[in-house]
Amino acid sequence: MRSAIILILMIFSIGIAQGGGIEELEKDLNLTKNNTQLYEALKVYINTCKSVRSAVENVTSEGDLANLSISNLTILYYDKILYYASFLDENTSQKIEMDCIKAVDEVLNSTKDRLHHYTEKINELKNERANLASRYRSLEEKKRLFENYTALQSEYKELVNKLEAERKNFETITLACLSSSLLVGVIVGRFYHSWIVRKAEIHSLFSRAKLWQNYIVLLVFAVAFALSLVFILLTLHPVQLPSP
Amino acid sequence: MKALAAILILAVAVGIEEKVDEFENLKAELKDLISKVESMEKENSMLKSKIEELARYEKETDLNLKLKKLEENVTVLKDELKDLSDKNGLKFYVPLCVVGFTAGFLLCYGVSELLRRR
Repeated sequence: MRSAIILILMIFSIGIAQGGGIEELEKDLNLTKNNTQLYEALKVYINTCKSVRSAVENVTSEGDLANLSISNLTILYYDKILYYASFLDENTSQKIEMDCIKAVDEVLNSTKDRLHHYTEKINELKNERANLASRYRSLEEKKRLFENYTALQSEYKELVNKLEAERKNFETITLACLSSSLLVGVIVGRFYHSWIVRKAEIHSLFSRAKLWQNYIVLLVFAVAFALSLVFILLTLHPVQLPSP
Repeated sequence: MKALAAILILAVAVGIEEKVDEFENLKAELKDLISKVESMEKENSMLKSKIEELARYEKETDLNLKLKKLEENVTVLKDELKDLSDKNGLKFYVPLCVVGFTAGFLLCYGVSELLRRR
């Protein structure tokens, strides 16, 4: 519907342009040279139309439109022109009247052209906005992902450091426990053996029952050693860091 | 030709007051459009400046894939850390001490016994 109206307006404006509204009115001035008042009125009319048309053609902001008006043409000049033109012959009078209307139409057509221009501009801007919005959304998504990635990367580094520290701590404690318990075991074993040997020397015949007690102690220790070793081997498994 | 001229006269000979009213309406419409254009231009320039701010993320590619891989690595690390924390306690150190003590004891006892018998 809108494009149809624009098409009609364009055809109409071509018709007017061919008629040459304001230029035609300027030619009419020659017909009115004998009538000074009509001449002056027509001149003002032409100047008003010209200035409004050029102002409309150059309009770029709302402020430019504020002082734009053709309303004084109706009250002050158009009626005056019609009155003074009526003293001329009928054909000339009618021509001047029609050319006045055509001159205003030219101003209207300039305004319509401008409207058309701005309608097209709005469409262009809408398309541009759609493109920009989609690009913005995709960049926002990338930004969100990148921030998540950066946060996760720092968490990863923190975890690696923590794991290294824990491993070091674990190894130190393990080594300390093992070496100290081994040392205690060696000392206790040495004393135990000395005690057993001394007992055997004091009692020339080391009773069979005491010998069994000694074997039981050794057996219990051996079983404890084996079970603990199995438990530790089952618990331990190599810790490997994944590649970042 | 005369008929065409008559049609043209009819087409243009609309009251001048109506033309002025039409001009005012067109002016209002134009004003509206210009204000729309201005606001849209402002919005677009705002979007452009925001895009410029975010332009440095443009070169980042395959972020989804990288993020997924990193998430997997973090999960693996967390599991290992938990595993290590579980180990790092009395549950592990007591058997370790038992192994150390019994190994030392039996070793020393055995060596001493061997030496004595010789």
